[in-house]
Formats: sequence, structure tokens, C-alpha cells
Amino acid sequence: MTVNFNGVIRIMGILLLVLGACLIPSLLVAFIYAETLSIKAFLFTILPCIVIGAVLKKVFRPSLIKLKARDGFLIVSLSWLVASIIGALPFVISGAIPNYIDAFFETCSGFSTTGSSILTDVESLPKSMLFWRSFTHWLGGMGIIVFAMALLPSIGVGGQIIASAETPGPTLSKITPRFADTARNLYLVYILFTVIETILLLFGGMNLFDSLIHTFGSVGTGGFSSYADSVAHFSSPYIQWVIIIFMTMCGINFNLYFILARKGIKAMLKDSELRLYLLIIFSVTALISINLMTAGGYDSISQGIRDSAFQVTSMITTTGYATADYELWPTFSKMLIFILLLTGACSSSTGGGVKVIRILIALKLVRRGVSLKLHPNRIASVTLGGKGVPQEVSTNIANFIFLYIFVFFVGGFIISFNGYDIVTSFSAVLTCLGNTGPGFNLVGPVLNFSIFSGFSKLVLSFLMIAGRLELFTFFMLFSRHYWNSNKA
Amino acid sequence: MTFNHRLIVRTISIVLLFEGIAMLFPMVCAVYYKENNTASAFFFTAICCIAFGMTVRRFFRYSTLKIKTREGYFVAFICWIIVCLVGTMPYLLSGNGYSFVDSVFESVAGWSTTGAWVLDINTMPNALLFWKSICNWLGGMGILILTLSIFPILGVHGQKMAAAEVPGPELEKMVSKMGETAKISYSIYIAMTVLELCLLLPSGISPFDALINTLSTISTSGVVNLNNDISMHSTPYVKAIFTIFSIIGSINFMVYFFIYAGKWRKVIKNIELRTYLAILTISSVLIAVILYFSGSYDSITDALVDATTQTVSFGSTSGFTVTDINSWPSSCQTVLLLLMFIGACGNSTGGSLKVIRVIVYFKLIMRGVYKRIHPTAIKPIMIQGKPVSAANASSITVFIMLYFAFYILSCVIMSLENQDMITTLSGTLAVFSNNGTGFGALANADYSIFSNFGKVYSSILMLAGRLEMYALIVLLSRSFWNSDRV
Repeated sequence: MTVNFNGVIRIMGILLLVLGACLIPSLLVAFIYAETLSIKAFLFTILPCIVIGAVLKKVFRPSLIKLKARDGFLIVSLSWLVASIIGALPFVISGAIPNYIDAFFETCSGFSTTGSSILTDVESLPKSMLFWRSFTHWLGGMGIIVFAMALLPSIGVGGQIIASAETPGPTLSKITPRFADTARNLYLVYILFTVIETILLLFGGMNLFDSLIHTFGSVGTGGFSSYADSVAHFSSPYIQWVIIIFMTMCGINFNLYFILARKGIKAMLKDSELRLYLLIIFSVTALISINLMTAGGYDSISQGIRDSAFQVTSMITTTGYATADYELWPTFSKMLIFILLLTGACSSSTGGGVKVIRILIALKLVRRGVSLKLHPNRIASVTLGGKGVPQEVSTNIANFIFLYIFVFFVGGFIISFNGYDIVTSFSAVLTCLGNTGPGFNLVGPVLNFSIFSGFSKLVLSFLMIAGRLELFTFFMLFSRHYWNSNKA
Repeated sequence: MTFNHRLIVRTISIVLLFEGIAMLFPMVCAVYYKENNTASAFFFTAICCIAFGMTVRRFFRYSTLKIKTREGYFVAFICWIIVCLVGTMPYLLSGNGYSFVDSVFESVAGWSTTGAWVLDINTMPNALLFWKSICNWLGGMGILILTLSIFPILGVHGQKMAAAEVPGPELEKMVSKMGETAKISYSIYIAMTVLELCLLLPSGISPFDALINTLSTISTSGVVNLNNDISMHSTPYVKAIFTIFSIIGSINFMVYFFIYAGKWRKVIKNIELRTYLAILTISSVLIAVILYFSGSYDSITDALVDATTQTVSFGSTSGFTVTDINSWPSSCQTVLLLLMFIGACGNSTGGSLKVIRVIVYFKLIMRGVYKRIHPTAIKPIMIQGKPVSAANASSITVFIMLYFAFYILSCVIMSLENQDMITTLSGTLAVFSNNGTGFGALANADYSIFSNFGKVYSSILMLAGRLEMYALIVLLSRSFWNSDRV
């Protein structure tokens, strides 16, 4: 009983088809702006994708053996790798990012919705390239597989199994019986948000191109901008608040929007994760605002609150946009931002990081542990919203946090060989693992990742994908137990 | 149900008695060095302590010794607080104009074997330096008392050494009473101290330096660096002694039992010892290689010597520096940082997470990956062939998470001091892991850069790290103070 390779390759074929289709909007943009190099690059990528994809889909018939969870992990990991590898090609072929490793980094950063960039001069890129870069955010935000699932339910019963390997966070409840329906619903909400934000940004005075780019970056919680100074380029408070609101909304568990639609806002606000998420946002915003006003050299309250709120929501939702260079802020604010890098957004959202629900349950576990020290014979269980949390889930969460810490340290060690200071190395790793984008010191919000060696960029790229896939899905492939189940 | 007051007061009185007696030694030293103000400070405090201790002991002679969990935590906490506060008196009264906060910091740093400083070492009277070293030494012994005698009582009733905190080799057949265990530990500790002193005396450093550094290194506090003499410019022999005895102080004292009882097999098989030594060896070699290739060292042996000394210093949570670690390549600094997190072995004078917990941590991760692949498999974690019970694994998991949560929260609080990121992050870790030395502005263990708030909070952190956090945290829980309320 090993991995179902036929099934895996077939799905790869379908993925290639989907990828090819996704490149078409960027091709259109290239036509609009008459960028011939880009047109060629896209065509050279789209055509082989569609051809090979169609061939694979035909040749590898849907097998009678059902896809299992084990296959799901391989499919998801492979899909993301393949998507990033192929997605980098347009950049290289058109000469926008000539070095392939750089292009791969940028594409991984796009699909994983990280938003870290190796570009030193963003604005010199052709518009269609910038569009493709941000479109990968949009695709990656909700999940490539989920996208495929919504479009092509013919993938079949394995859908739920595969997608659960991709969905961020522990899922404690199901919304619809068929996963394909869930996927479709999720994408509807997602598309709705995209359209609304684009329109709102247009009202703010942005041109259509910029609106789309920044919408993709905010609903996908990615962080790529068409300008070198990120959202600071737009000094209009209206625009900044719109982006703040949409970043926050897309950091919320999307399933809650269905609860909102069916049962109203009170039911939605009962969710413990949402409450902790909002609590963190409000309290940290307040703390940073106060700190900025007293020690940070800010004069106007409204700007202090606005900059604080923007950075807080940007970091907690792992978007990574910036309206101010927080490197200049007092250490207290910087430390709080550092914490937000760790926390992450809610589960089943487009955000990354450790996820608020895991932090919540971990805190409850700790509290229970302390109480057990005092009352060793007590029977206490961890509850969430009135329901008990199964032992399995608690254990998985603890394991996840431990693995996260481990990967963080090992990654930091590897990146430190570049010779940059500890804060730079470790914050680079943390921000890629959590899919946020900016770090501290040499990878601060106004700087970029071009300073790292090619090897480090590769490592960081893998960390981005590993983080997006919540570590286990990715690292499992390195275990010998995975490839040969007879070896227990 | 209230606290067993008699027991608490009696314990405090015994502890104060010992502390008072301990103060007589620096008093003699002060007289010898003609530091009169300091001498009278010690005299005054010592008399008070001894008087209090003796009279109270007489009053509370007859009281039950049954100790419950609640009293245990409270006793541990209150004893340490009182010991530290009384220990500030000599600094405060010595007439050198030291502030209260500074004195508290020095005292806590001493007793928690951290080895951090806020007062200027070079102008401190010799008697106070001696007192700090004594605090270090007694603090190290205090840890042994805590982990060998008190924690098992708090964690699990009975003789099991595999307590809720630190799973370790079992002692059932070895010694019959807890008291015996403790006595043997102290004997070994004292023996090691005497041995180190004998080895240091003929090495060319002054007898006073030898004495205070012996006391500080065997308790894994650090090295007392007068004018940067000892650590930077001492001979390889001296550095080697410091290194070896730091390792000795940071190994699980259970191992010494086994040696004492002749059970060599158990020593060799002890997974914590092996892992710890492996970590030290690999780190030393790794750092040495990186240093050599970075060009700052001429020969690989020089690099290896410095690397090993520095590795042991950080791995045992002693925290002395033999060179300017700020100038080291950041990959070496990262290794040192990791060593700070891992810490020493359980049941030793070292601090931080402890190697045995890190071992369990890794096994938990690997089991996590395995269980994702085989969700219904039954796979316990094995240490030396015996399974770790779910309760223990759970307890260790909670400890590790609490450790990181505490650390992160403390970083935020310390960031109010507005030092740069690396200083804040490494400084918080340094005091929490009882190491003492950080990076950035704290590479020389000089904490005077912090304001009073920072110093007070650092003191709390040192204590929290030393007491393994629980003793502090349970005090914040409502059910601790009122047993009717769970």
C-alpha cells in the first residue's frame, strides 16, 4: 500500500491546465499595455502547460483505487512546488527577473501569499509581470487546490481529503456535506470581497491597475504592491482604512461568513477564535498608538492610530503591507509587531502564521497544566465555545507549535551563514514561515531580500511553502514512513 | 484550609540561620581587607539573621513536617524571596551608595546563579565580591535541594524520581530516604568545590580570585571578571579548569550517584548525559570550524579552544565570555543562542529548558509526524527503553509552551526599556535561562544599561527561571489562595 502515483500524476495534469488558464488574465494585461516581451513569455508558458496538462489528464485515467489521505499530502506539496516552478517562467523568459532562483523566490512568495520580494526596483517591471505577481497572491490565498476543486468537482471523492491537507488550521466543523460545495462557496465569498474592494479603491482615486494589484494583495493577505514604498505611496486615509478593513476581514475564518449569513452577527461573534483575534488587534493597536504618541515622535492622534492599526492588521493577517517604516518605531512597538509575526490570522482564512486558534488552545492547555500542578487529581478538559477539544487536536496543536519552533531555529541557523546579524536572519525566516513578508533590520519594510545568497533564497522559498502548507504536509514527505507503509 | 504556618515559619528560620552563618565568612574577609564599612554591614545582618533563626526555631520546634503541594510552592517561593532580600542587606549597608534596586538585582543574580552584574565589579569591595560568590555557590546547592527534595514532593508523592517535572533515572533501589539523597548531593558538590579550588590555587592567579571563581564556576554562575583579567587573559590551564568544572556542575547529579554506587553501566547509558555531551561536542566543533574559516583565528587549535570554552559556558548556563562574542559570525552566535535555550541537564545547577526536556521535545515532534501518517497507531515516547507516561509527556509539553510564552511576554515587557532588538531578545533570554550574558549591549553581562524597572523585572525573570516558573505562576492563581475555589 503505497502512494497512488497514477492518481497523483493525473491531478498534476489537471493542475497544469488550471495554471495555464490562470496565466491568461496576465496575458490580456500584456496585450493591453502592449508589452511584447511579456506576451511572448506568457504564451511560451501557457501553451506547453495546457498541452501537457491535457495529455496527462487523458493518459492517466481516473483509477478505481480511491485517493487516500497519504496521497493528499503528496498532491498538495507537489502542486505548490510545480505551480511555483512554472509560475516563475514568465519572469525569466521575459527578462523581468533574469535569475531563475530570484524568480522562483518571487513566485513562491506570490503563491504562498508571503509578499517578500527580491526586487530592488519594483516599479521598473512591466505591468503584466506585476499583475501576474499579484495574481499569484489571489490564487494562493484561498488555495490552489480549493480553486481546482471549485472548478472541477470531477476530481472526485478525494477532494475533501486533499483540501484538508491544504486548509490552514484545525477544522472543527463542516459547513456543507460535499467539499466541492464548500469550495465553491468559499470562492464566491472571496470573489465578492475582491470585487467590492476593487470598487471601493477605485472610489478612493486609484487607477484600475493599482486597485486590482492592491486588492489581490489584501484579500489574499499577500503584500505585493506596484510601488516600492508599498501602501505608503497612497497618503489618502480613506484608501488606507479600506485596506485595513479588508485585510482584517480576510484574516477571519471564512466559514464564519456563512454563519453570519445564516444565523446573524451574534452567532458569528460567539466564535472564540474571532474574539481573541479582534481582542489582539484592538489591544495591540491601542498599545502601539500610545507608544508612538509618547515615545515615537508622532504628533497627530489620527495618524498615530491609523499607522498603528494598519501595521497591526497587516502583520497579524500576515499581509505585509506598510504605511510607515516601523524600523524607526520604539522597541516596544517593534516587539509587539514581532509577536504578531508569530501569531498569525484565524484558521481557514487566507492568512498564515501559527493561527489564533492554536494560540488560544495552547494557552488553555498551559492554564490547565498550571492548575493540574496545584490539583494533581483534578479532571479538567480544554473547552472551546462550550464544546470539548478532543485530545487528538490538542496533541496535534502542541506538535505543530513545537515543529514550528524547530523549523524556525534550524532555518535561522542556515540563513545566518549569510553573515547578517541574528535579528535579520531570524526575522527573515520567521516572516517567510509565517507568510508575512517584511522582517526587521536588513529585511525591514522598506528593504528587500536581494541581500541573500541563492542558496538562502531557495531555503526561504521552501520555508514559505512549508509554512503555507502548515509544515506537516510538507515535512511528512521527508519521512521514510511515508513512502513505504510496510516499514512501521 | 489554610497554610501550615508553623512549617513555613520554621523553614524560613532555618534558612535564615544558614544565611546568617554564611555571612560570617565575608565578614572575616572584609576585616582581612580592612573594608570596615562592609565588615560592619555583614556583622549587623549576620547577627540579625542568626538571632532570628535561633529564637524562632526554639518557638516552633514542634510542628508537623507533612508538606502539601500548596505549602510546597509557597515555601519554595517565600524562602527564595526572603533569602534574596536578606542577601541585599550587605550591599545596601556597605556604605558604597548602592541603590536598593541595584542591591536586589545583585542579590537575586547571585542566588539564582545567573552571574549578571549591575554594580561596577572593579570598585566593589572584595568582601562583597566574596559574598556574591557565596550566594552563587549556595544558590547552586539550593537548586539541588529544590529539584531533589522539594519538586518531587510537589509533583508526585512518594519516592519516584521520575517526577512530573524531569523524568530521569530511577533511584528506588539506591537510597531509602529523601534526606539521604540530598546529603549525598551536597557531599559531592562540596567535594567538587574543594577539588576545583585545589586545582586552581597553584595556577598562578591570586588565591582570592581562585576562591571566588571556584564558587562561581561550580555553581554554573559565571566567572568573576576583575578588569577583564580572568576570562580574557588567563592561561589555557585556568580556562580548562573553568570549562571542566562548569560541565561538572551542569551534569545531572544523579549521574554522580551512579558513579558513587559503582553503577557504570547506568552512567554510560544515561541518555541525557550522552545527549548533553554530544551537543557540547558538536557545537564546539561547528563553531571552531566556522571561526577558523572566517579568518579571525590563525590555527584550528586556537579556534577550538575558544569555541569549546564558549560553548561550555553557554551550554552549562554559566555565561562567561572568553572573547568578544559580538564580533563572531552570526552563525556562531546562533549556535550559542540555541545552547542558551537548551540549557543544562536536569537535577544540576544549570538552568533553562534542560536537556531531558529537549530530548522529549524532539521525540514528540517525530511522533507527531509519524501519527500524521498513521493516525491510529499507538506509539509512546521511549526514553532509555522505558515509555514516558502520558502524564509526564503532557507535563513536559506544558512546561515548554509555558517557557516560550513567558519568554515572549517578557520580551515585550523588557522592550519598554527601548534597547535595540538583539539586546532585548538576548538579554531576556539570558536572565530567564540564568546564563547572564547576552549579545548586543549585554555581551559583558553588565545590566546597568537598564532602568530600575528593567532591573526589577529582570530580577523577577531570574527567579522565575530558577524556580521553573510554576512557583511564581501558581501564586497568581485564585485557587492557590482559597482552596474552596477551584
